[in-house]
Amino acid sequence: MNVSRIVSGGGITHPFGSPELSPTEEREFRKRLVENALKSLRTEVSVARRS
Amino acid sequence: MVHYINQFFGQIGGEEKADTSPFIKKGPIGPGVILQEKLRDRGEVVATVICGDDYFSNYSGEAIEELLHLIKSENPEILISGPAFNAGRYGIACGEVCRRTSKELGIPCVTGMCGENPGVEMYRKSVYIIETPGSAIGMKNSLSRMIEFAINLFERKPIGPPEEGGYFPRGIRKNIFSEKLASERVVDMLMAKLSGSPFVTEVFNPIGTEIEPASPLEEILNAKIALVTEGGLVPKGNPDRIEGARCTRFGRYPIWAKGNLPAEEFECIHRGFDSSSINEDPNRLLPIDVLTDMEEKTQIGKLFSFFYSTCGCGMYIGEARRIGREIAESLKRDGVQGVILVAT
Amino acid sequence: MELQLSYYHITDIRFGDETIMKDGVLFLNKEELKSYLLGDPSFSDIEIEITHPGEMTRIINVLDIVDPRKKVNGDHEVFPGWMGEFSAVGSGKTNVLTNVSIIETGSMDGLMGGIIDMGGLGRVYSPYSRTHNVVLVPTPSKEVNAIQFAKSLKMAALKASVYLGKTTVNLPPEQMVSIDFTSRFDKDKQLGLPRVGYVWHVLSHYRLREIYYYGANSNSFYPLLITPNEIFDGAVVSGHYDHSPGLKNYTHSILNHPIVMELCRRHGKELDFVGIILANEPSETEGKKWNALMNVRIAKSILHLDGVVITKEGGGHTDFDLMEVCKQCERSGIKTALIDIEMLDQDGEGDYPLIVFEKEADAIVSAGNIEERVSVSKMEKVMGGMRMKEIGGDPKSENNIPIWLVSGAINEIGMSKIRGNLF
Repeated sequence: MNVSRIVSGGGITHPFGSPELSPTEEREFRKRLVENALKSLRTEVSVARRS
Repeated sequence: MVHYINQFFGQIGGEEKADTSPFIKKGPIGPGVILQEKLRDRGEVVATVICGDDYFSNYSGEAIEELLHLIKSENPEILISGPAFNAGRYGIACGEVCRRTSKELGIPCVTGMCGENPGVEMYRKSVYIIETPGSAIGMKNSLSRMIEFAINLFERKPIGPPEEGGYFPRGIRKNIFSEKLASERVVDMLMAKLSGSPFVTEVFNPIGTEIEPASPLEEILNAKIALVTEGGLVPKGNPDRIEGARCTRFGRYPIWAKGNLPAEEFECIHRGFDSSSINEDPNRLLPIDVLTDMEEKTQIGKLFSFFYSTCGCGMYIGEARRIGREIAESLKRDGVQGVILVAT
Repeated sequence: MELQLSYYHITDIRFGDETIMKDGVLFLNKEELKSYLLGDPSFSDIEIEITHPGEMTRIINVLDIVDPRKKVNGDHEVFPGWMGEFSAVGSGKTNVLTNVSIIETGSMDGLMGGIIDMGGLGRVYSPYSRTHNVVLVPTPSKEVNAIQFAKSLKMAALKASVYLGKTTVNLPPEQMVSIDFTSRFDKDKQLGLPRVGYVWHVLSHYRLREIYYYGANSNSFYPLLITPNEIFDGAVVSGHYDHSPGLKNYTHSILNHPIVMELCRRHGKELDFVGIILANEPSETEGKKWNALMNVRIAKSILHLDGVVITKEGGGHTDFDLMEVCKQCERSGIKTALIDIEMLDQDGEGDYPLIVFEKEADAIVSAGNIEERVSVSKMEKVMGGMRMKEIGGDPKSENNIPIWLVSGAINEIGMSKIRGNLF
C-alpha cells in the first residue's frame, strides 16, 4: 500500500500491548514501541517500493 | 439514431477545417452510410452531428452544450460517436459527447477507438468504447461491432465481459460463474506455470497512487503528536454510533488523563478481532499512558488532547480515503505535526 | 496409506419409522435422532427439519455444514477426537452420502451465521441450495454460553453425520475412489513428475473462530504435515461459529476438499502430489512471518517441492500470510498458484481487491468479490430460527444482500465457480 513508516506492534488484538507480560514489563514494551514510532517520524523516507 | 463525427469524416475538410463549429445535417454522412447499411431495417440514422476537432478542443465548454442541444433536437434512442481510431482530439470529443449524452438523455451511447487513443484512459470508466484498429482501414468492421453493441445496450441485454463484448474494461470487477471450480483452475494455473505454458492470472492489484511521504519532523521536543486509530475505540455506549464493520464515520475523543482508568470510559467496537485485550486496557491500543508520561518528562512537545477513532473492519477503500482526508484536514486545523496511526 | 471412499448418491430424504436407505432414498427416524442428540445438556430442545432443492425455504443462522459419512472397517471412526476411539485415520474404507447435507443452525450472542435459499433468485449461488438438507435447530439451555453451545452443536452435527452414514453399511456404492497416498521424501523414489504440494492456511484465533484437528483446537499450532486421507476421514473440522460465512470453510467443503481431491486425481499423471502443510494464520506480524518461514522451509527442504498451491482462510490480514508464503516460495525456486477473494465495494470498485500484494504473486485464481450484492426472493418458509441479525427484519422477505452472506457461495478453498472478472 506504499506506506513508508511502519512499526511492527504487539499484534492485531493489542498493537501496543503484550498481556502475557507483567504490568511493569508491558509498560516497558509499550514505551519502546512508542519510542520507535516517534523515531520513525524523525526519519527521512522515500516512497516505499514493493519488495 | 444520431451519429457524431468530426469535420474530416463529415466531408467538410481536413486539418484546415478543424475549427468548424457544431452543426447538424439530416440523414447519414460519410461513415454514417455504412452505419445505416449495418443497421438495416432495425433503425434509422436520422441525423449526423458534426464538429471540428479543434473547435471542440479549444471551446469544449460551449461545444459540448451546442452539440447536446443539436443531438437532443432529434430525440434519438441511440448515439454513435466516431469511431476515432487513433485520432486523439477526436477520441476525446467522442468520449465526452457520449458521456454527456448518456447522462442527460439516458440513452445508450457507444464510441470506438484504438488502445493508444488518450480518449480511452479518460473515458473508459464512464463510456463504452469499442476497441478498433489504429486506422480507418478497420471502419466497416468497427462500425459493425459498435452498432451491434449499441443495439444490445438498447435492448437491455446483459453485457458480457470486455473480452466478449470487444470494449475496453471499465475498471470494475463483477462476479461471474466460471466453467470450472476454482480448485481446478488453480491446479491448471500451477501446472501451466511449471511447464512454462502461458496462463492468465485472474486477479491482481494495480499499482496504486504513490503518495509522497511527509518530511520527517525536525524536532520531537517541540512537536505536537496525535493518535489516530482504526481500532474502533469509542466512549462507552458509542455515542456517535461508529459502525463495527463497513464503517462510514469517525469520532474525535478526549484522551484519558493520567491516573484515570480508560477501561471504565471506553470500549472497542471493532468486529474483526477479539477486543477483550483492548477493553481490559485501552492503552494497549492507544499508548496514551506512555505518551502523557513522555510529555511530562518533556521527551515530546505535546500529546494532542484528542484522538481520532474509526473502525477499519471491512471498510471500503473509497470511504477510507474520504475519512483519511477529513481526519487529516482536522488534524491540520488542530496544529498537529506528527501522527501515530495505530492499526489492528 | 490407502483409503477407499465409497459414494452413495441420495435422491430424496424423508422422515420415516426407521433410519434406513432404500433405493437411493434416505429415510430418517426424527424422534430417534432427536433423542440421541438431546443427550447433551447444552440443548433444551432440538428441532430437526428437512428441506429440498426448489422449495421456497430459507435456512438462516447457518453455522456449519457436514455430510454423512462413516468408516466401515474395524474400530476406527470418522471425526477422530470427536467420534469413536481416538486413533489415526485415513486408511481402510469410508462411506459417504452425497447430495445430502446436515446444516447446523444456531442463534446466540457471539455467533455469526449465513443463509441458504433452496429456491428463488438466491438459489444459484450456493452448492447447498442443490442438496437435500437435514437442518438441526437446537435451542440453547439457559445457562449455556456461546462457546459451550458451539462445541455441542459441532458434536451434534458429527453424531448426525455418522448416524446417517450408518445407513450405507452393506449397501453397494455408486462410485468408489481410492486415495493411495505415500509421502516420497526419498528422492530415489520420485516419480519423475513435478513435485507439488498444498499449503493450506486455516484461521485459528480464538474460541468460536478456529479449526479443530483431531479434536484439538488449533490456535497455537505450528505448521503440520498432514495427508489427504485424514482430511476425507474428518480429521479437520470447522469450529468457526463467530466468523463471516464467506471467509471460512464449512466442514462439508473440508471433507470434500476440492484442491486436495484435484491433486489426488492428477497424482501420478501430471504431478507427484507430495504433501499438505496445514498452517495457522497468527494474529501478529512477527508470528505470520515466522509461520511463513516454517511453511516454506518444509516445502523446500523437507518436501523438495517444485510447485505449491496456496490458499488462505479469513479476511484482509490473512492476505499477509498468503502473500508472504507465496513470495518466499517463489524466491526459493518453488512456483506458486493461489486462490484469493476480492475485497472491493458492492459496485466492484476500489483499487485494491487484495489487502496485501506481492509482485511474485503472478498466478492468482479469484474466488469472487465478496461484497457484490445479490438479490434473494421472498420465501414461504424459514428454518433455523425466527430472526437473523445479519439480515434484520422479516427473514422471509426479499432482499439484496452481500454475496458473502450466502453460505457456500464464496469459498476460499476452491469449491465455488464464482469468480471476479474485469468489466
